[in-house]
Amino acid sequence: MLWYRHWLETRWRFFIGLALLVAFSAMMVLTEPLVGSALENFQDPGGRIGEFLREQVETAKTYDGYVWQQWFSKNLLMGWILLATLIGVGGIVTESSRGTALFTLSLPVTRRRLLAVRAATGAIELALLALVPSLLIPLFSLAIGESYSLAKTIVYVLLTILGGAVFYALSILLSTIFSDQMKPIIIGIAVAFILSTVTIFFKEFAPYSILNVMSGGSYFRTGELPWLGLAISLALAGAMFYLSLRIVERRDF
Amino acid sequence: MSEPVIKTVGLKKSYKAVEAVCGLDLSVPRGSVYGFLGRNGAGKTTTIKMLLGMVAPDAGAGRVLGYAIEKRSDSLEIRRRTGFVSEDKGLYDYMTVGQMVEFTRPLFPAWRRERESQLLKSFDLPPARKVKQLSKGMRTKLALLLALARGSELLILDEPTEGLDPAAIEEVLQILVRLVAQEEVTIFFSSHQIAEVEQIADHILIINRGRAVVAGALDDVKENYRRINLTFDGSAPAPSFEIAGIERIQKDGRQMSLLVSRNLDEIIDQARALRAQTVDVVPVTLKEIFLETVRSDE
Repeated sequence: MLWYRHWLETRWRFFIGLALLVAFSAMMVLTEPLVGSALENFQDPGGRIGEFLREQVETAKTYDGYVWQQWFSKNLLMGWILLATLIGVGGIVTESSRGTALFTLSLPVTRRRLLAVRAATGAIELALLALVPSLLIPLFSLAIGESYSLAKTIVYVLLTILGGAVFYALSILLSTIFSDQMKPIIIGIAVAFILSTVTIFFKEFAPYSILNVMSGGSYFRTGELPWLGLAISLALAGAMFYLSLRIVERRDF
Repeated sequence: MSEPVIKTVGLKKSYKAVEAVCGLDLSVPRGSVYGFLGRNGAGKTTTIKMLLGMVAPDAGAGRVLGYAIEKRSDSLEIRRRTGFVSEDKGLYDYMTVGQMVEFTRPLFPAWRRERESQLLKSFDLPPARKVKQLSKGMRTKLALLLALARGSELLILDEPTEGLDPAAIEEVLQILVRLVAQEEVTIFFSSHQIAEVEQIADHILIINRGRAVVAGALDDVKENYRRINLTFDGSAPAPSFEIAGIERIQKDGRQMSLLVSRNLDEIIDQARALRAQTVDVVPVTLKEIFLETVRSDE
């Protein structure tokens, strides 16, 4: 029943996030013909920004490239990180500021289990948030006379979820440190923003960026999966989750 | 005599420089209604949190229902067998009354469905209403339902009647008394309502600044505590009693008043030796005992 409680607590975040992502994925596919013709009139502003935009335009010239760039490396990536941060916040430390911690802690459940069930329920929600709108892309693509591979979709979704686990774990960890909900959200978003800025403007850093692992940049360009990046992300996520468990177990309420 | 349901020895807890509980010894007999009294910040809630494993004691030891409060695995068993109402009555705002019940029920193997239905009805709790839409009194009733329906052998209740109207308070007190009489449940409850404690408790503990200042069977406490009023011809002399048991001395002109907890006869003899014009011994109420003991410790 602990999962049920967490589901009730986060369901509106889930449904709103899902509705927005589905709307974005539909819009992304259905506006492709318009974007394609707009890109033909692209004028290079020059400089570093020009270089970046040129690359974007080149990538978007194929439908595969357009979907990868607009969805897996932008809309889904940023939307999912934001939702991972929002779904990760909460838990027993936040409850102590809301006044419900004593009821929760009076239940015959270990703190370890409370946190684990919460994390698992959130992980399932996040998996669905990445999967459902992405699986609609091959379907929407038929409406504009294009096709998109289901297998590729699943690979990119898995990369988003496994590579992005670190953002979810960070949100959980911050929620065991701060009792208010805003600090973990602000820090989580700030980390994602800094990483994306660094990834865009410092090309030498891009191959090592967790955002590149999540978007499947190497898979798109070379067909190789970023095994090392995934392993590092999962190890970091595991370490942060373990630290969260230790903090919650030792804390007085 | 059976083992106490709650037993603590030298329990201590500090928060930074503040000593919340300082060496508390507690012994709650099985089947008793144990009133736990103290001013705000006296250490009541911290004690309750330690008993339920929410806060780790800095020193001392404790057992609840035979399980050690310091051990995590034991603490889990304590919570499985204990009904608890917290001071703030915090429940999940995003759930309805019915969802709160459905969520809590499967976590307690001894859950009493008939009691759940009966309390839902008698407390007039609407199952479809969201917790956030409940009044303070209704929240208290829901918190009580969730504690009482657990079918626990021990109830730990922190201000269980807070926010209730007089009729509801009476109803709750009657339910608690019935539970003790019919099912040998032990109740350990804190309250600021001394009249309530006097109405249902058979044992009390008054805590002040983390220390127990009065403890024992309520009848014994009321029997042992007496006020001795002395009137002198002239100004009352400086008090010079050397007998243990004098809790508080007040002097006002020709009058002197002693609050005595034991050795009554010896103290009376010594009072007479002071050449008091009159010596009156009067019983004291629990409220007076509470006020005098928490004041005399200041």
